[in-house]
Amino acid sequence: MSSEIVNWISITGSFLSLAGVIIAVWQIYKTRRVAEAAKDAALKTQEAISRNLLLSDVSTCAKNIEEIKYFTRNEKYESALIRLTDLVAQLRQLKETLENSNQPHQIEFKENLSQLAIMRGNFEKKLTRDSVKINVVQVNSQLSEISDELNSLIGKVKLAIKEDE
Amino acid sequence: MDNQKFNLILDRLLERTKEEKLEWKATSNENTLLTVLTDSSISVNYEANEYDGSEYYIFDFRNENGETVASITVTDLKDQEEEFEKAAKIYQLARQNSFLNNKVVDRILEQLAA
Repeated sequence: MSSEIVNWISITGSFLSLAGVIIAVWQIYKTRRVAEAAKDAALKTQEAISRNLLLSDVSTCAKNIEEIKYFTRNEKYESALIRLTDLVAQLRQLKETLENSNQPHQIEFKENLSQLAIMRGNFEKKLTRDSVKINVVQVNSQLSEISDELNSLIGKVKLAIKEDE
Repeated sequence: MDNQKFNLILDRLLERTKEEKLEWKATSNENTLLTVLTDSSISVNYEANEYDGSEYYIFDFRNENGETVASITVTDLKDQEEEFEKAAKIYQLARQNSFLNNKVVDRILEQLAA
C-alpha cells in the first residue's frame, strides 16, 4: 500500500472521529434538552395538581362554613360543632400549605382561627349549659368574613390555572 | 403563667387599650372580645354566675394557630380585687373600642360623610 493511501485513510479516520465527537456532543445536548423539558413538564403537572388540590381544600372549607351557618340557624349545635372542628383542622392545614407554596392570599389565619376557637368554645358551653346565648347574627357574620377570604383565594387559584393553560 | 407576669400583661393591656393602640374585635360570643397581636391573640370574656351573682373575666392567650396556650380567670373575690378592677376596665374599654372599630359603623360613617 502506498504511503499516499495510508495518509488518506488516516485523514479520513481523523475526520470521522471528529464527526463522531460532534455527533456525540450534539446527542448529549439533545438528550439534556429533552430531559429538561420533561422535568419542566413534570414540575408544571405537579403545580397543576397542587393547585387543584388547593382548590378542592378551599372548596371543602367553604362548604363546611355554609353547613355551620345552616346548623346554627336551626339550633343544631352538636352538628355545628362537628363541622366547626373539621373547619379548624382544614384551615390549619390550608395555612401550612399556603405557607409552603408561593400562592398569594389575603386570609387572616391568626384572627380567623382565634375567632373560630371562641365560637367552638361557645358551642361547647351551649351543649352543656342551655342558658348560654349564641349570637346567630355574629356567628354568620364571622363565618361570612372567612368565606369571603376563601372565595377570593379560589378566584386567584382559578386564574393561575387558566394562565397555565 | 405567674401572677407577676399576668399583672404586667394586665397593666400593658389597659395602657394600650386606653391609648387605642390595640384593636379589639367583636366575636360570635357577645361577652368575648378579641385582639390580634403579631403572632398571637388575646381574648377577654366576661361571665356572671347565674346562681351566686359572682362576676369573672377570663383571659385566653392563643398562638398563631388559634390554640389556647394559657388561660387566666380573674374573679371578684377579695384576694383579686386589684386585678378584677383592671380586668373590668380593660373589658369596658375594649367593648367601646370594638364598637368604634366595627366595619359596619365605619361604612355608615363613610356614607353619611359623602
